[in-house]
Amino acid sequence: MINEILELFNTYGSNILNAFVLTLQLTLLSFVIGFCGGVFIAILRSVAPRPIAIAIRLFVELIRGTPMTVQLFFVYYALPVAGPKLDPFTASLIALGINSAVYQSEYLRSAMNSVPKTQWEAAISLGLSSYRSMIYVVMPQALRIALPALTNEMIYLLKFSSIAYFVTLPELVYTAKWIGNRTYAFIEAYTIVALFYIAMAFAISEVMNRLGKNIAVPGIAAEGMR
Amino acid sequence: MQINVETLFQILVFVVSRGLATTITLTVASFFLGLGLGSVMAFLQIVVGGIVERVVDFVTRFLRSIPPILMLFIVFYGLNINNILASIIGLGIISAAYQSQFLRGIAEAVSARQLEAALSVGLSRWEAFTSVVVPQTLMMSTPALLNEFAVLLKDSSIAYAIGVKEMFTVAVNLANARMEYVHPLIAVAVVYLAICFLISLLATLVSEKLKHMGYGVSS
Amino acid sequence: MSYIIEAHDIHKSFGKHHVLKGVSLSVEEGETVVIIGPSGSGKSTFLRCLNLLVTPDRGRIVFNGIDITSNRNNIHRIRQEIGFVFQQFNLFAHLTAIENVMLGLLKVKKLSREEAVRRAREALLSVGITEDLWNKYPAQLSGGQQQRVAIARSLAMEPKLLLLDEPTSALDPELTVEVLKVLERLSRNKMTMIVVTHELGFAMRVADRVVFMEDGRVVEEGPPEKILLNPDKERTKTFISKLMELYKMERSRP
Repeated sequence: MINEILELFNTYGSNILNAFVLTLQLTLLSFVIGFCGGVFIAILRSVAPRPIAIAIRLFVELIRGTPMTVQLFFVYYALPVAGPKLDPFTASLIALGINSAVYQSEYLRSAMNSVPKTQWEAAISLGLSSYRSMIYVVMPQALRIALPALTNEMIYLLKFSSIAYFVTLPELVYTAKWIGNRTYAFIEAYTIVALFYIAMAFAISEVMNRLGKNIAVPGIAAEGMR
Repeated sequence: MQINVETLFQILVFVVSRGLATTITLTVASFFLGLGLGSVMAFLQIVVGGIVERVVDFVTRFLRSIPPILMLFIVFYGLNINNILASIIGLGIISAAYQSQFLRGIAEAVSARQLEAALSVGLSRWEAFTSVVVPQTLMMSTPALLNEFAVLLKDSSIAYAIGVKEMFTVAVNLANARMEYVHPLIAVAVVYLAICFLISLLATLVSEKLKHMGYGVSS
Repeated sequence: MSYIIEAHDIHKSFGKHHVLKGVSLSVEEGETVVIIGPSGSGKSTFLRCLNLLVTPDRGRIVFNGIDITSNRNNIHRIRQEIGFVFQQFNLFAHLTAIENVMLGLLKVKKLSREEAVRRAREALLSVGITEDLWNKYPAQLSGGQQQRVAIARSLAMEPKLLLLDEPTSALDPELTVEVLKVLERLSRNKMTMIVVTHELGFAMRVADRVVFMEDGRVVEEGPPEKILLNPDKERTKTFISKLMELYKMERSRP
């Protein structure tokens, strides 16, 4: 089996590498989109007037209540009816990004609620506007609390980047199947790809843990990981 | 483009009648496989401990890093079994990894409080475990278990990759036949939403009941 | 005679609970006013109305000639001039002591970094927080140190009025003294202060005026010698003597 694996690397090395890059890109970019979107949604939900807050809530429940596959297919196949046709990568990025933004907004909201209300009171008593109090006092603490959940989210995105398989993007899982189809060495191909995922997941949690230690502040406890 | 509510309804009925049963089967079966296997894994970690604990920990980290699609492929093409069974096993094993995590956490929290009390009353370790720790763990885990059930419901759609005729597959096949994706996708989304909504209602009820009984929730 | 702050007929209810039933108070520049009263009397709520942390249902608050109750939009600008010290210190947990003091200077007063650092150091030293503590996080400081940093945080903004809500109630007795010393010095330097507290000794030594509140109303007010030693109203007498009992018991503990 080891022999076959090395063989595969030899012949299909570049495909595998490209797939690896695509997977990584999808993971990191959708995390960033999700993070920005998540912060935006979380803050909006706490300061926006009721009708808007309710609309956002409905959207959040919509995304949380439907499978990622349905969301991806909707972006890739259904949206073009009303707009431009998207390429597989962009469609996957959008679907993953929106999904992640919704989930990250939930983690952030929960973390924001963990920050004692008195911190905010102290900030506005100094004369900081609501907006500034949020940015300089509440969010820095909320982000530290949310770090474990955000790390989990990144790993989740790593795994579900594989959903792009369904829209024929040549990421790792698609490539593994493709190689398998051509060589019948399915198990070897899947093993290689599985190892890639495991290694990437490990790297992500190491980096995030390192980051967590760097920005740790005595007195702010991070909530337990899943 | 216009969204025709009547068509939507017809498609919904179609998708539900052809796919819901399979979806539910996949979800329920993989949930219980995950629960059973996850309980064993948690048990091994808590009670046996030592090197076994490290090994199980390693295995769960590993299982939580692999994409579900890949797992399904490995199980399906690796062990030559039918696609529904492969889906149940693949999703179930991954679910076991996650379930063992929270089951273990809750069991340890419960043990910390209740085990000494149980032992002082005269119960043997085994009796204490089965009549005090396990029931309480299951009770307190209910919100997390319901959440896991919802996750499996949504992940069941991945079985599309190996041709299982669950709801999502039915919807997509229909969409291909009709050359139109909007109605089928909306219809199937509605079904998932409805079920998830029911699950979250249940979860809220359970959380309230637990709080009432004195078990503060902190998830 | 210029009033820094005037509160006229303040009413506030939380749900069915009518907490403030028409409280009026005017404080002159340089005055130190101490508010005493049983818990539930509305003292804290009243104090929080003064910087509009709590919005009164009825009544007017005039700060430096401006009616701030009807001018909510710029309240954050006005809050720059009113310092508030909380019972639970409420230091920003993610910032060091010196960063806590600097935040307002940088983001509200928009000072340059060097200027902010200079002023922050001054403020911290003035409350007795030495350099070795400047880079510590709140969780690493004692209660007394945290409260002094909180006072420095307010002082650095150079407020015209300082509001203190039971500043020593959350502190162990040994740490109370260091904070009271700081407040005493501030008062002697003519800082306009309104302090809600149970520390009668402090009130006696330092207050220009003592206000006794009970059940959402001002029962009596006057110079400390009057209110604390020889009050007119029976209710005041009862409260003071109860407090003295407690006080004596605490002080006589070995």
